[in-house]
Amino acid sequence: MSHFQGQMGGQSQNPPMRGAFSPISAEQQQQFAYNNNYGAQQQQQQQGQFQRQMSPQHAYPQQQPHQQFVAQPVPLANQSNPYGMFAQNLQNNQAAQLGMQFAGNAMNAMQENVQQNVERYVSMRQLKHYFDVSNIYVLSKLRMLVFPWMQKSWHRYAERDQTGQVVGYKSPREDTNSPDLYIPVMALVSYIIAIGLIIGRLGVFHPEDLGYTASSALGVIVFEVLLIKMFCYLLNVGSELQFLDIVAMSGYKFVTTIFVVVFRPWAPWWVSWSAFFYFGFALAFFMIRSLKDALIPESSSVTGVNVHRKRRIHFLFVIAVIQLLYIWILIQYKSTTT
Amino acid sequence: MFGFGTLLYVTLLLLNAVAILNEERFLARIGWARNSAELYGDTESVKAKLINLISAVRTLMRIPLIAANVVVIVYALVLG
Repeated sequence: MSHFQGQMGGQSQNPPMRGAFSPISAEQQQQFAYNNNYGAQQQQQQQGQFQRQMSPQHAYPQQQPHQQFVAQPVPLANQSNPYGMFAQNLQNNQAAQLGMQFAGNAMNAMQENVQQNVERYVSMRQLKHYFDVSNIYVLSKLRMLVFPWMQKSWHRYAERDQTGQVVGYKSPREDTNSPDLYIPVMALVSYIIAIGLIIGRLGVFHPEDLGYTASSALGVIVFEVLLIKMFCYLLNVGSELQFLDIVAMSGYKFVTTIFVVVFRPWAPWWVSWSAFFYFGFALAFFMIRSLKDALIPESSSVTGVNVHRKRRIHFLFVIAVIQLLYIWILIQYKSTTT
Repeated sequence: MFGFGTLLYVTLLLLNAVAILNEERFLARIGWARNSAELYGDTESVKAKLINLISAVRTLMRIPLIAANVVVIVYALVLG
């Protein structure tokens, strides 16, 4: 324990950080005196590892009268622990230590229980895959949403394990075409705040408007995901299109909606309508190109499954055009002057 | 305007509408019956899947729909 040797050799300790529990200076000096004395004894007592709840430590404090327990030695002081004064009270009380151990075990058990229950509904590993983004990814994805014609290749790279089998898709960090959940979540929150800002700027803001906007946005997402899920079931689209992929694709519309909604109160009507149509068609193009590989496979790679190729093309087109309707719904905020 | 609560009400009403379709008086008349002969060979067409979906909703969701309807009725009565 090198830091412990340092305490013995130098006899000069850094004062603990003055946090909420730091005592007044008189007590502190008393504590330092004790600390230096205690250090010598402790060095002889503890040859092995330094642990918080060690039995040789108990013998010493029991000799102290009870009202001096505030000024007892703090072996943790030179680790700049601001709660050192607080923790040592718990160290010296056996019942408190038992309580702490029990609480620690209970916390671990509860955490595992929650983890297992959550794991059944939402796979954490999959969620982490969707939040594995980098700055370059975010910037290029935003550029893809606003200027989708500039993107050359929309192909998603497949992740392969050691034997060359395809186990999924590459994470967003490596593949710009892979959908993620970070941008949709951020865009949703930004959209709610942007609506709040606009309503506030118009002077008619109430705090529950934020709740209404959030409920409306979530309603649009849920409706779209349910619709796409139902169409996927009817058209035999299986594992090519995962549930979280659909949620991610559905969440991307908030990025373009923010761009449209900031134009509405302060621009002439033709500017806001042209922005609406431009961003709407950009989003539609983005959706078509992104979902094309998943929904409409090349005819050579699918065997034994009735593909409904024409129906899927119609379905894709319907999804894309209906984005315009969603954006239109989302830019209806409550205001007196529309 | 288009909130989450409205969406819940709408889905509840639509599920009610699907659940009260009568098998023999209505669905058989328009050829969407469950045990029709045309379904045996072809379980993957859109029509077959739609018929499966409707019959699944009717079988599985009748009792939860009763509970959901009671909850919504009580809520509407109490809170207006």
